[in-house]
Amino acid sequence: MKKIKILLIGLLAVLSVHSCTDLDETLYSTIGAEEWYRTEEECLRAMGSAYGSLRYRGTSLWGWLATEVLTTDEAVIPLRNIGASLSNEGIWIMAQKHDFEPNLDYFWASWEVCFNTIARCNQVIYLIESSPAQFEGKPKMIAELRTLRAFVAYKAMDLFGNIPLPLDFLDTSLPVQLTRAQAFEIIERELLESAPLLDPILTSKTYGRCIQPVAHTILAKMYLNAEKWIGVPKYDQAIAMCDNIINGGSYSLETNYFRNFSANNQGSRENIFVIPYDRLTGFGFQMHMYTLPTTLLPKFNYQSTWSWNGIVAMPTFYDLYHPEDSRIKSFEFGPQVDRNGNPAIGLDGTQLDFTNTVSSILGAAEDEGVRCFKWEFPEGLSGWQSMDNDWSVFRYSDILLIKAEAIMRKNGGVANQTAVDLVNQVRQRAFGNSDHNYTTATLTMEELLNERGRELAWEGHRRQDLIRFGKFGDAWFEKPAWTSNHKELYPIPPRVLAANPNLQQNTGY
Amino acid sequence: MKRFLFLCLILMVPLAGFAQRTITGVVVDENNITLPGVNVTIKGTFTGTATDRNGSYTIDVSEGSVLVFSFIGYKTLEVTYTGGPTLNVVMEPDMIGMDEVVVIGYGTTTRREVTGSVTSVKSDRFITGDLQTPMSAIQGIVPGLSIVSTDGSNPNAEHTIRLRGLNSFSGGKSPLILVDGKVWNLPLSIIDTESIASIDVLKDGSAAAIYGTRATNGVILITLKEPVKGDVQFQFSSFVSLQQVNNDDRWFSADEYRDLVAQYDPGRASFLDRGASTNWLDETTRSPLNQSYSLSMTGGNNSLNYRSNIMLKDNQGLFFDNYSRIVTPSIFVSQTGLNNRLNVDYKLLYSNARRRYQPGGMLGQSLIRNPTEPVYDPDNESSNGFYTSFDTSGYTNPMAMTEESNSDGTENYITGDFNASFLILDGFTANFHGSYTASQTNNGSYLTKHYPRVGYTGDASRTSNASHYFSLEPTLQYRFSFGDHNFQTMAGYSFYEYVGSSLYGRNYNFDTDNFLYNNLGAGQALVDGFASLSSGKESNRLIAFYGRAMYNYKFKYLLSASLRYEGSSRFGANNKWGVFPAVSLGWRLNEEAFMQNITWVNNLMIRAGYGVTGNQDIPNYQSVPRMTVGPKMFYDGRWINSYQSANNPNPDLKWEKKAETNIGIDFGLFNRLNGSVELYNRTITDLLWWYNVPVPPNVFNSVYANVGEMRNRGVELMLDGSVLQRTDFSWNSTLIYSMNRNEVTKLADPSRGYELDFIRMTAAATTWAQMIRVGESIGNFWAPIYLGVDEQGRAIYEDVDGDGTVRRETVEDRRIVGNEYPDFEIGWQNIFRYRSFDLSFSLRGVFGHSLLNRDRIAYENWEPFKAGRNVLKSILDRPEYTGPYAYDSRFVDEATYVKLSNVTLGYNLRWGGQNMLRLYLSGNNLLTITKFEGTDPEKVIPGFNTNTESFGSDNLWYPYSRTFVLGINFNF
Repeated sequence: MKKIKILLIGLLAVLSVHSCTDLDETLYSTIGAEEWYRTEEECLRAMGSAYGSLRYRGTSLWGWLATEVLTTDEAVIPLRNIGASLSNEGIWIMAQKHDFEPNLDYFWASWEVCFNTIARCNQVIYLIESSPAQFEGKPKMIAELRTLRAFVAYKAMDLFGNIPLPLDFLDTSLPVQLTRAQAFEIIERELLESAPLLDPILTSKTYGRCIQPVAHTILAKMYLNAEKWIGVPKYDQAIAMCDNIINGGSYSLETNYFRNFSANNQGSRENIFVIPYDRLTGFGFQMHMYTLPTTLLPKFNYQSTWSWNGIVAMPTFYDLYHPEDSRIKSFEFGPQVDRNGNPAIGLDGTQLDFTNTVSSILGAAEDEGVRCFKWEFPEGLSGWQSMDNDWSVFRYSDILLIKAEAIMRKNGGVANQTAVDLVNQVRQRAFGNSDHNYTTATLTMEELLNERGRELAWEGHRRQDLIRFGKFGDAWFEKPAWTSNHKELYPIPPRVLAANPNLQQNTGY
Repeated sequence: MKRFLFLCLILMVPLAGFAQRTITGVVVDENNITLPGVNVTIKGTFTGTATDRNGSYTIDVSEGSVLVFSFIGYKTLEVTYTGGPTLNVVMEPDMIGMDEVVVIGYGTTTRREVTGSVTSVKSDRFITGDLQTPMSAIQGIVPGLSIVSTDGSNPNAEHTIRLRGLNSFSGGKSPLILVDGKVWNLPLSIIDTESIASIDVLKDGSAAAIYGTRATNGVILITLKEPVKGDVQFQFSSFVSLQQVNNDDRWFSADEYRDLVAQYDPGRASFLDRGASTNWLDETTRSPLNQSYSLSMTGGNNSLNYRSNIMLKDNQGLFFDNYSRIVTPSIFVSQTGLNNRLNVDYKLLYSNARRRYQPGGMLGQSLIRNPTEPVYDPDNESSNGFYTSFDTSGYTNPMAMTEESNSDGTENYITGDFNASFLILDGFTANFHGSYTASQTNNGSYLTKHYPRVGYTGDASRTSNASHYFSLEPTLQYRFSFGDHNFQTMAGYSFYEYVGSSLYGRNYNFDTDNFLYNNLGAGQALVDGFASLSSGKESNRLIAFYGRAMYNYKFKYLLSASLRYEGSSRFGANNKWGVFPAVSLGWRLNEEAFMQNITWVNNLMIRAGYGVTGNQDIPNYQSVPRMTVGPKMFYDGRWINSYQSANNPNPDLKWEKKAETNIGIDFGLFNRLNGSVELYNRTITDLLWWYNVPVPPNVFNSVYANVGEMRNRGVELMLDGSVLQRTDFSWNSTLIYSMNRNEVTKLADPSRGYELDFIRMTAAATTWAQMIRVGESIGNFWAPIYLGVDEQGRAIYEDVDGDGTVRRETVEDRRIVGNEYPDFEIGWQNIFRYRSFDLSFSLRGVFGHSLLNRDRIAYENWEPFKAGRNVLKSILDRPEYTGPYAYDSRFVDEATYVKLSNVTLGYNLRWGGQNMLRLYLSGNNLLTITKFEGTDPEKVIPGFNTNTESFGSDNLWYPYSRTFVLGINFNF
């Protein structure tokens, strides 16, 4: 008995010394940060996470699709008189009419995708740099992250102008606001320094990643806009960057324009930088939800029982296409049929017939407005699944048009034969013949803008183009004209200002 | 050391050596009526018994021992046994309750000795009726304690409980609840209210500080009924109740809707008027019958006693197929041994709850549904005969939702206690309390292929959660007296561990609806790579050392002091441990010589206390840098996992601490009126908050950090007395009053220099409704001031700062239009007794607060009408407004309300001592008087909204109901 007691007391004492004050946390479903970044593979996986925001917000109507497409003359989301309506309390109408309230979600999302990516790049760059893992590709990996960071910074500068741009992860002080010129300079420097270290050639392992031609494309676009953005024309540099890509040999125009937007467009020779999507990855690229009326879903064997019947082409924009232009098929016009070729019936009991009209932004019929069929609708999606099409951020035809525009702008807004030849490459592909080719006389700046519109419709370039051409303030559809230029920049979201007192709201908001 | 040896010596003296004999006696009251159930114990031992149904008892006693007779409502009587075979006693009623047992945490004391702010409610004061949880039984009885049903009459909801305002921004806000000394982590609804003896509320810091890091929001101690010695006694209670949905006539009926269409949009009548007349709320709800049964048995001999209890509760929801069915058997065995020096209690409670949930948004869909839509459309095969109409998301036929879905769950709870007390010597006890609690919940959900907008041919998911709680608490207690100096001391150690894990699986596209969620693998989505599967696990630990000493001189001057040193695994490496001291003083004036002549004062005591408590109720792992699986990355032709950091870690994370000063006065006057007044001042420092930080340099938009300080000050008043006392008739009345004022005194972390973020609420565009600012109360609604409309029907807002531009999102162009927290609350409970009848009613009133009326924001404009939905009739107050829905001064409603929360009429029959039969009729939530333009002002809790909530139908959760109860209590 006594022995047992002693044993018990001893046991208790041992137990209590061991665990009675132990308060260390035990992790089960996550791992401690110090247990990562130990191998090249782990560094690669960490780098992959920095691309994550792009896919989530990059093509969302609540992100760049609103701020780069919907605010232009390319597209409109009217309320519908019947059936599903993408109303969201008028925020799409506000986008279209340029009633830019700072707290609108798409401004926040457009900001967040940029700065979330910048923050993650900063962190991952630091952690890879300080990782004990030594491997050959380390400088290239860091250059890639710097390029990715520069890409989103370029986007942020385009949308919001005066942005903060801290690049050092260890500097935890409040970031200061840069002028557009300062931001321009930093982004340019980052890209110029990184580009030589990057892979020059696209491979299956670098698909969807920031390789050298991506860095050159960003620079080309920045130089093209430099006169507008920072008052310094940089057309020669723009031409040089385009030449890097044109002479690099990796890219060429696809014979079929729509090859670049097909459900399985991974093999496209034209897409320079893509955000890869797949239905497996869930939420992402939802064009089918945005544009299709519910009654047409069975045609694509969609399991969803509803869609928004929302975004359609602006009638005036659709009118820019020549009937023989193959790109007119980017938008679906006319009577619709179902899978079996029978008429597709709308809610009012008559055949769906997409017309190039939108009676009013406050009330359109179910089948008013031509629909975006540019990105092939994959078969059999369900629920919130993403389309499988990879989203092309930059395309080779854009490079040709940038070069042509830079030449023309250098030339006082007048085309020369080089410029005409560049544009005609694009034009000839679109028409399948040279009947509609431009000449130095017909390729006016106005025509170039229209051609950019047709070629790059809904790909997120229109706002930048309209601003560069001084046309963002024009009146179109129900949007009134404005003259005060402050709307060329979007307002900085209030919650960003609240978190950082160093930031000032953009003028006019 | 000498003293220790002395103790050991005493231990060895065999107590059994004293001569014992068996005596009997009868206990009667002042009218010579026998009293059954009186506790009879021998002072300083665990030996005891209780009087039987004839008021008589039998006990073994030795000469010179002191017998203690105690009974609720009577003064405790101590009698020294001086010999003889019988000992009959007369007990006197105790109007003031000075000998009432008060549970104070790690022990009990008497009302006479309490110096902290403690409210004790015995079961005979509980409110009766169809109680959702035992907390309903003390609703409106304890000053400063708010108990509200935030989810209407949902049979699967628990109450929201707040004590003395809100004392945390982002940490837990509910009081710590213990059942017989064990932290209760399970739903309170599984406890049988009939098995509860008392509920004690430790309100101020000095009383609660013994529970350290978990006591900031107060402590509620539930004490279960103990085994009663003697022949078996039965207690049977049962009721049936009928619920009636509170109508919501703020919405247009079908006829009214047609008039609205004719007047405001005749051109689209064919779209808006679907031709039928449906009262959707009538269609989706019912008047269900609830049943509840409770049976307990208790008895035993002098050394082994037991109480067993079983509860069955069947609550039918107001919606179809919506219920909770709870079965809780429990057993409590008490063993005395080793010459009455050892007492061991074993407790085991098992509970099984089966629940079926209404589809999410049922109430909302029933209200916003166009009343001209029919319920059924027999020709529509794809919807299985339910009428469907096209709209954006968030508009679905609620009857189809009910019929085409199945969401239910089973919960199993088991909790056991082992509590051993060893009497080392007179007054000196060693105590060991160990407990283990496990909960296992399994939920399944299935949507058939006909479920509105499901988009799949069947969608099934299962969720499983397991939680384990383990605690170990050895304590030593020593009570002793030197002359008139009385001491009560306690010291202990506490170890507490939680481990929780979860498993979730989802699959869809099933070939048949027959499987429901019971054959998850059969769905096609798994093969296609779209099924989801996840699991998780987490744990935390709390360790503490604590002690308390109470002293009084002649019960006239009282002192109590306690200290707890406690650590939590949740906090940063440098801040894991905290010290939580408390001290309180009491002075009983009526014992002083100068008060002896004032006979109408029966009791007068002044108390003052100070105590520090903490709040560790925050998410796990906030201080540790962690990596987690990130978004998929496309690499070399396939999708692989990326890895990313999981949080902005904060290694400096530390306790929220609350320091509270409390001054109280207890009084008893004219032998019929008891009362107390409490004044308190709470200062909460190191408030924890997710606040916005810039990205970059941070990786996430918010970090969890200690950022502010605030103060809660308040007054509480309780009056409890017998208004009338006649032979056949009596009237007892209790009135409580409480008020709390909050002020934020400091914000932001100077080392970071950021402003604290706002409380955000979203429309499609994010806006905010409240703001926390230094010098102001939390809960202030800041809103743009609505002035009217322009010629286009759009809202005009006041340019508050007069700068020529209205920026609705900025504080400069907003004003405070209300505050979410009440100015004061009142509770009034009355009991009338006439012969065998009793009648009671309870009123509750909450005054001076405002609520954001989300229904009005979303449905008091023309947008939903244009889309073919129902809207609020109040739209006609401002038909000229054509703007979209918006947050502004129109939608902050005054929410003052007075509720007739309970009326009970009872008939009581007593015979043969213990036997009692009671029949009662009761009504709950009978009447609400309010200006609030919503279903029920209780619906929206004065919470602290840190999430971005969506407006509209999602916020209409569950209807309120009136409840009529027919019940019986039978003791034999």
